[in-house]
Amino acid sequence: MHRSDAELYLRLLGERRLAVGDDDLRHGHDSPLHEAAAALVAVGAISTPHAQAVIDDYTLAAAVRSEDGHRQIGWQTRQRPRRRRPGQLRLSFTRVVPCDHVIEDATGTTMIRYVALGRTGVSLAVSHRANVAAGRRAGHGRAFGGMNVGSASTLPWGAPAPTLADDRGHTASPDFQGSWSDDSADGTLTAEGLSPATRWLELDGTQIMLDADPVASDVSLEPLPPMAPGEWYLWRRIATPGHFGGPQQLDPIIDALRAAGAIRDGDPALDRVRAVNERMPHHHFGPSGGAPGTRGLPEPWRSLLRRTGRAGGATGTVVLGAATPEFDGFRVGVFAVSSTEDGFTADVEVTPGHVGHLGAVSLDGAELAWWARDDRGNHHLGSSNGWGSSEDRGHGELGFWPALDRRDRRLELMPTGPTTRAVIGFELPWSAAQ
Amino acid sequence: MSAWWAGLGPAQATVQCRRDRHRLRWEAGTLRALDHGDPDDERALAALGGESVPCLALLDAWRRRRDDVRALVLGSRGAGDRPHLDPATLPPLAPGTRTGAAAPRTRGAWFTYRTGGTPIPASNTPRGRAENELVWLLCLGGGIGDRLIATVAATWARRLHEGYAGVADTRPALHAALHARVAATLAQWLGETGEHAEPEVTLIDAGDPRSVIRGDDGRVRAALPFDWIAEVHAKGLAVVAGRFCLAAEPVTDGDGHRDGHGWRLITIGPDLSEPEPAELTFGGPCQPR
Repeated sequence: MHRSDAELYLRLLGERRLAVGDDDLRHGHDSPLHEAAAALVAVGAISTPHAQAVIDDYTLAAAVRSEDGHRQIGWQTRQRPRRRRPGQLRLSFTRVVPCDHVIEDATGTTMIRYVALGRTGVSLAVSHRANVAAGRRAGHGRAFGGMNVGSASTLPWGAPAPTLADDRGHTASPDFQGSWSDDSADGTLTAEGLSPATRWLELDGTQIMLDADPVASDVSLEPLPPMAPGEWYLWRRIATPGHFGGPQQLDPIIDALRAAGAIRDGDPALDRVRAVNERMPHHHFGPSGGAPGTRGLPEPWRSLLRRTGRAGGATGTVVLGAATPEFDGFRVGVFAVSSTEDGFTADVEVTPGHVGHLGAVSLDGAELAWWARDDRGNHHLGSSNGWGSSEDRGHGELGFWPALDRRDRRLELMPTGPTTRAVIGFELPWSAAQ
Repeated sequence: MSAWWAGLGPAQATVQCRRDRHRLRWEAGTLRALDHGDPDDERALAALGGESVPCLALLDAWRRRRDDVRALVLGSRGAGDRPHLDPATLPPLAPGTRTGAAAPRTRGAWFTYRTGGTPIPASNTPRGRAENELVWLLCLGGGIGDRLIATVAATWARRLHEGYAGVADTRPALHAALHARVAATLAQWLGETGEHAEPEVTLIDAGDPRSVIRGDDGRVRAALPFDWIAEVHAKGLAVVAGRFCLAAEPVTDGDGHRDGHGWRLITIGPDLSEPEPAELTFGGPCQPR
């Protein structure tokens, strides 16, 4: 398919959606046009800038036809291609230190779970639980997700912004990054200008020793088996379901791939992809909502979907500080993995970053799929619980499903790119205690 | 040969310019600020005084956007499809064009809580400013937006004829612009709507035979040049007396000058049988839609 044919395909799709008043067109990152564009980019039919220009045009065309479209004029946030400089990708941390430090004050309980130290400064992973008896300040402007951030001199939970100091005499005021509600906050306190080699940190006068070691991990890279581009892209889309998860609307993607000649009617891969997609859960926890039955599904999907909604995982946190080599233009760092009854989470960092809408499929077709595999042969799939990103790095929390089994002794996280996956393996410390 | 704007009457919009209401008028292919003197002199005076003049900002926007093919994507496909944003709600074109721009709504669920700061909105890029100019012009009212579409369409029709270097890159957008207007016109004319009724529109060269036929599969297939937009659609001649217009040219006098009183049309009936010539005659000069 020639580039101009691909662009015409997208523009005619945009015209069709505009003609029927499809309001989804306004949300360029989440529209059928975006899905088709990403598919055409993935199979090399059109470049990312050309595809993005078409999406921008029709997003704006839909906006000028809507009552509140003026909010989008001149202010659209566009995805920008990642800046990949092979061999120059650096993660922000050089060491990660486990740290179960608890601070009690009038606002509630704040736990510092680990500290990451590196070239860009120091980050403290914090979880705050409000002291209900202390009450909340009415009208403080907090809301989940960070809208109306409120006072500038306090943390989201109302405590005064703290001061951090290192053993070299440097001090800094950290920023909070994360999510919060009236009752809780989870994220990082990050400060620049502190020594990555410091032996301790002082948080508002309380000393936190940085002398514990993280759990050992082994990291390797595995090439993926070759696959036809169209089929590869469909599997990738199911594995990277965006912010809200659930089955994908595959038809616009398949139509675009068919138009590009990347997949043909009657291709048995289409049946396999559709069978898996129908069984993808609408919600990752609790009742699945997806179609029942997993017999005949290919791995890793079969073991993933067979255990959908399964709870009963062990509870605990593993601080890792693992870093991958560069693969497919990415480097990944894993700070920690936390398991609960319903699933498990991983605090991760990816470089380069990604500027665009949260949960949107990236147009350049190179986002990572977040697989995990336990030592009993079961697979788990992760997606963003909360994510922050710049062009240089993205970081946040991934939520994986289904839950780990209490009998699992080892876990491998597998951030998976277009051609290669990294495998970050580690023992689950709670298995030894059982 | 007639100017491309032959048959397009004047269009006029009123805008708030500093403390007064001023008129912007399009006529014979040119947009003018009627309540200002020489634009260059006024720009120099305004620059000296450190103030902006909204009428002149709109003239400048017109000059920059009169060949911007995105006007064909954003603008009207015909009656019943109109951008309807109120310019008063748009970000200002220049300081003073209006005040009180609405702050953008920041989206997402993961922000930096920066002591001493607030979430940073998406940047206002050159492309964003260009889009703002386009939307301002398309939503000004008084037919100015339609004249911008006609101007852009005529510019690219000429460039196609001349083999302009940028045509290859723009061709998909031009094809889609033609498709959109032909499809909207046919849907309304034939009363066939829905995705199943979408016609197939082929972009042909200006000299190739024009046609609208129904294929054996029942699908309508149109073969038209890009010129059709400026020549027919922009002039409100797409459907005349219940017939689809394939081509239109102004009636001329014996010396080849346009007499301003009519059109020679090639039209086709709803049964999509053979095209027939027709002449459309007015009692006086053509008036704007």
